[in-house]
Amino acid sequence: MTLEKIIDSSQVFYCVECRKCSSICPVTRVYGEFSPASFVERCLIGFHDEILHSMDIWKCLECGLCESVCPSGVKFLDFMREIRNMAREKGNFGIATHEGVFESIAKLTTKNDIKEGWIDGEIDETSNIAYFVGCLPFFDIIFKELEINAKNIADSTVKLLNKYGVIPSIIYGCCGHDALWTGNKELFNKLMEKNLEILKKKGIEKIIFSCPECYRTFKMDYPEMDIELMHISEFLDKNMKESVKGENEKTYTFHDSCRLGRHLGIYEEPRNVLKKIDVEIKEMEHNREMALCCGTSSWMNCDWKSEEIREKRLEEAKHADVLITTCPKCKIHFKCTLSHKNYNLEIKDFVEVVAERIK
Amino acid sequence: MKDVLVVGGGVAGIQAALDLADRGIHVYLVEKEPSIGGRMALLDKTMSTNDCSICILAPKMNECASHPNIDILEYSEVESVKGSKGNFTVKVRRKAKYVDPTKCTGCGECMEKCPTEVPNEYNSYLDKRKAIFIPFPQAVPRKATIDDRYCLKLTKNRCGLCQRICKAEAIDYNQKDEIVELNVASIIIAIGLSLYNPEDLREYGYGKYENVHTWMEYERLINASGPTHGHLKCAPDGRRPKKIAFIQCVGSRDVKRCQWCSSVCCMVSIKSAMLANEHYPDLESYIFYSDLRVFSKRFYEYSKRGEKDYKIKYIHARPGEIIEDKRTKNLIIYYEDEEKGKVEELEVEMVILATPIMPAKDVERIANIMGIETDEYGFIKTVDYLKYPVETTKPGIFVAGCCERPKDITESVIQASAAAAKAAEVAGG
Amino acid sequence: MKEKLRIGVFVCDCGANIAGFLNVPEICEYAKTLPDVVYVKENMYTCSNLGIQEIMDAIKKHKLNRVVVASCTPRTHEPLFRKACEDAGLNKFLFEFVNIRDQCSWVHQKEREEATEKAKDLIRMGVARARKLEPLEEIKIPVEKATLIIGGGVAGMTAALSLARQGFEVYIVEKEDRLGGLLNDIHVLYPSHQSAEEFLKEIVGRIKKEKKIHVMLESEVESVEGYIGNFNVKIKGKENVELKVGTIIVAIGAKPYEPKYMYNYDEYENVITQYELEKILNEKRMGKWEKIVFIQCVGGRGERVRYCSRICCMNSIKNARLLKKALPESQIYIIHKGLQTYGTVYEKYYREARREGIRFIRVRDDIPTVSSLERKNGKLIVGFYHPGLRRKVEIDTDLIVLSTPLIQREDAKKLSQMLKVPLGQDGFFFEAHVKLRPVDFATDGIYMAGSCRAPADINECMVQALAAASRAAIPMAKGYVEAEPYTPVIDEEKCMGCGVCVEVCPYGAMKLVEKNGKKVAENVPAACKGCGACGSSCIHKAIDMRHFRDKQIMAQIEEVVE
Repeated sequence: MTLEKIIDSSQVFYCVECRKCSSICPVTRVYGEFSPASFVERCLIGFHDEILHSMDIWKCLECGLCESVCPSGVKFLDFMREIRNMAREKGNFGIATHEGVFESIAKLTTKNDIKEGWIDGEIDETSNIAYFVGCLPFFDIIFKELEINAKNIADSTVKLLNKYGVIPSIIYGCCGHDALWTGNKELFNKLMEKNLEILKKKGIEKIIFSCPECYRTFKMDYPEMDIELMHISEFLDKNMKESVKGENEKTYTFHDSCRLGRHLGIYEEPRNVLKKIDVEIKEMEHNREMALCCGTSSWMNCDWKSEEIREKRLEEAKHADVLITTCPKCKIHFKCTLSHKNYNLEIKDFVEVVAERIK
Repeated sequence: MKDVLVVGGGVAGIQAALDLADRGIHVYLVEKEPSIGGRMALLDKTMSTNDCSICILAPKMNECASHPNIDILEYSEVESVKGSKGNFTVKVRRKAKYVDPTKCTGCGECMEKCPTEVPNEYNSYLDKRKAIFIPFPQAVPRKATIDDRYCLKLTKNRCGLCQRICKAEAIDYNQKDEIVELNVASIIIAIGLSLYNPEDLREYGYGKYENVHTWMEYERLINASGPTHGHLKCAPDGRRPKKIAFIQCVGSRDVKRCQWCSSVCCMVSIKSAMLANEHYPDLESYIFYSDLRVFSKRFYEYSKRGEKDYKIKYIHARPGEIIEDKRTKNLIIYYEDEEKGKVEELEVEMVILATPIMPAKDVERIANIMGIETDEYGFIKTVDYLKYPVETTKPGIFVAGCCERPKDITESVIQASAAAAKAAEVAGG
Repeated sequence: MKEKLRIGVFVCDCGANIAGFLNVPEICEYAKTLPDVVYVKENMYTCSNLGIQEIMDAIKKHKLNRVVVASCTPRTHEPLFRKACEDAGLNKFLFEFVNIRDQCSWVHQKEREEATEKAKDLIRMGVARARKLEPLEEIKIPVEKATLIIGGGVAGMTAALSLARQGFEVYIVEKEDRLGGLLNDIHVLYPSHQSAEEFLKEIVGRIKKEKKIHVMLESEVESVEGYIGNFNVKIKGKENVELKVGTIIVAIGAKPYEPKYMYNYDEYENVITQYELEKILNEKRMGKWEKIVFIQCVGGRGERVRYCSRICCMNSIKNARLLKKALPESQIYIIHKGLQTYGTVYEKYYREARREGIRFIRVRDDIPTVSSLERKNGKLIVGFYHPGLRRKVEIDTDLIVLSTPLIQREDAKKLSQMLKVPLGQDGFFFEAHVKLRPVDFATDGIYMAGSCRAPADINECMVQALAAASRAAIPMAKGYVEAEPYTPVIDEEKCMGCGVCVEVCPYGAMKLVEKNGKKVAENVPAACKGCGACGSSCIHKAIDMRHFRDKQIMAQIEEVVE
């Protein structure tokens, strides 16, 4: 890809420099010099090397706020992704957090399979409905002190699927989201090929996800497949017919993750399900398309400024006791900050809350 | 010499009707509201000249009413059109007003006593009017009309107060719609515009934050005959603003909404800022723009005057979002300051959103009835932008004003005269 | 023998607008006490059908020979009340309007008693003037059914075609040896990219076919005398004729500004103007340019002229798109201060240009577009401050195209003096009212269209031309104009022939004539607007304005100054 081709495919030429993207970008708010509009302007004028060798390109959270407000149709997410790919080819890798362990794990999963039997619940390996678990097994190991309870998320998902008549087969492995968004197309392609092979071998017709990033990647970044894809919240919204009463001594709020929300456009399904189980949501100031990002993406560039972005979100949740999110990554990031900052807030994954209520 | 039908009694329709009538051609001016005047009658001042809008329009409205060659069919809509250029047969429905126009003096007593309050579209829904109403004080014709969607007598057979108190005995609940048939040589469409509702731009909080308004609402607020008698009042305590902001291109030049440029909003915001400063000399205005569209005669000079004499600051940025301070109800605008290279916060007491002009609400219906085409955006299409700028896709039917595409009063008037010339050619004047 | 005055006074409640703030019954009682007042009536709404009928009935029944209505403002209902008088058989100029609303009840809403007294004063003054009013006649002046169009460009030709189709004779006077004006040098037209030559050929063809259109090439207007309906025009040049026309349309167009001493235009050969580019494209003399930079607003928006020339943004985009198509590998930049691609059609065109790879760079409005321009190794280096990136940016280029504004032609001044029509501060012709009479001159019978009014593209020229044709057709179709009755009465004894009134008249309605061996002033009723400028500037008190006679005004003043 040349930069000119990137400009054409992501339609960056439509940018009229209105700067609305920069005004809403959570990263610009904390880093003045980072500005989506500035990248586009420099690209259009021809300062290509400057962009490709800049460390700033790794700061983008790909949260999609810019794209959702852009009036000119600039596909900034695609633009960033391709730029990062080109940058990598020129030796600009960015700084991955956690010593780049997740990239290593992803590389490993291209060749090896994760031991099965990690999940408790009814499973049928011959089923053509699959639950894609993704990286969940690793979170409990790497983030042990944060008590992510990733196993609980997976178990709860399977439990809920079982309750509504689905005995899934399990697919472990990395979807390739982080590889793709950090410009590592080579690794992404390897992971994608492996996953597609598994799907073909197992004859999968439907996949349920508990992680929005995996869902997005399968839906929008893999080639079009004749397979039905859905998030567990969509599944529940469709299949849960009854209402469940519960106590509401705690105040709940809901965090729309960037991938499930702006990327995929799913806002109401989780809310509908929570309503059915009698969990009353007191919305934060920024919700749905305007939801603030949790502050870190693809394990890149996590620093004290990312924490500033994250704390803006946590401040908005001050009225609540429990923050419900659909994305395990968001949960990790919030819990990380809570581990050394004083907030009276519990972070819970959406499936955990639903599974608790439905006993 | 034959007759001409003008559909729409806004400034374009009025100008076309007068041009034709002055040279001896008989005109039917059909208007769906109870009064002619259209949008221009509801504006406060016109841009670039800062004339009082209704003051310069009212004499033309009165001229229409008293012109021997113009028949105003108010509160009427076109139902069907048959025929072709030179010979159209048009059926017009004269909606029942339930008021006898020959008796009504427009005294306004009925409006005062009517117990039913309904949303007032003439004040951009900022206040209420009554079920029996005169749209605005300078209405032509100045006669009462009963809105049969809300009138208690007509919907539930209760009340009936207005009939009892009308000294002129002008109320007639038994009035029926009337269909009239007209035979005309040519038709001019001048049905005007509708405005975009910016509620779906959630980042700006319209509909949620009390002090965020559209430009049409602002026109009514700053107008002496509007709901606040020309005073700008901010929630929660009605205090007057010291700092206001205008945001351009809210819904226009937007691939997801209205893709076009609404042409006039930049100037309208500059004018509005000037008016605000005239009312309150210490008031500062900020106009957030992408491209400042000031292309017509003397517009650029006007924009410079605003900066120099009326405390207007032009900021090249489209704000990302507006957050309301829950206590003061002030609005905090987040925008990227080009010169500083970071996101700034500007706190103002009122925000006015410049929303685009869209095709008239009933453009589909009119286009179907007339047998003419609309363009990809819904505006009425002309045959060729250069060669046939006022001809619709059906010969003998011409177009003028904002229903063809957004334009200001001057250009609407020019196009209206142009359409009149073409209509006259057909009518044999 | 003077007839006995019988004055009728009608006091309007105007609903609550007057009656809500003044004691109208008290005012009526007061009016009854005024000398010569024989009838007083209070109306709820004098302007309603009922009120009009009452005026007419009262005139007949009580044989009124003066009518005073005390109500709103003459701007709304003076014609209505005058017509009521006329229909009842009373000369309509024996009617007096007293404003007790805008000038009394509306502005003194909290001072009921004092305002009522003021209303009484106003009515007393009105009655005093009414006593001195005289009947006046509106003369009908016949109108010649022919139009002179000055300028044979697109605007002139379009107006001509419309007027000819409406049955009027049209004379087009064109300075050059061919019709078409500026369009002759243009390559293609936006937004359709149709060839300008074909466009012209078609319209000129239609002109040639119209029998009612007479084209005079290589000719100019030498002099214009007269007034609406009766202009005597002398044409000189290849054609030497004298014409009598009823209306005149000015469509002389504009010319592109030449950027002398700007951006090294005079020195470097690859710095050209937009119009030179059009010629190059027309003559297919394109170079093998790899990089092209268009610079907008050269001389406009305050640099040399104060206005925005409207069409240059679209023109540049058009040419940029053409060049990009012809030279697909080239890089084309347009440096601008705010793109004027307004409306539905142009915004879409702009987006297409972006998609095709044209790059747009916005610079600040308050400084010159380009800060440096040097020549290096055969290439030009353009330097400018980029506000978004907050740094100076330099682009090397093979060709620079300067977009300059359209400015008024030199012969406009002569024409404006000849026709006695004004030019605005921007040099373009000044219309009667910006909003409501945009193609009329204040002087009746003269109209304008096209770029001589303000820079306009083809669409606007066409629409303006049709509008001017529509306006010009009104007096010609009617066949007559009604002369203003408020004309000056000139006392030829007192008149010293100084000519001041001729100078101050904005409408060319006063002239000096020889009478009985002495030069005296004479009024041209058809051109007169009754503005009174002549009357107020005559130092010899030789001019008295009809319907605003000194004695009438003095009568009013004497009522309140004791």
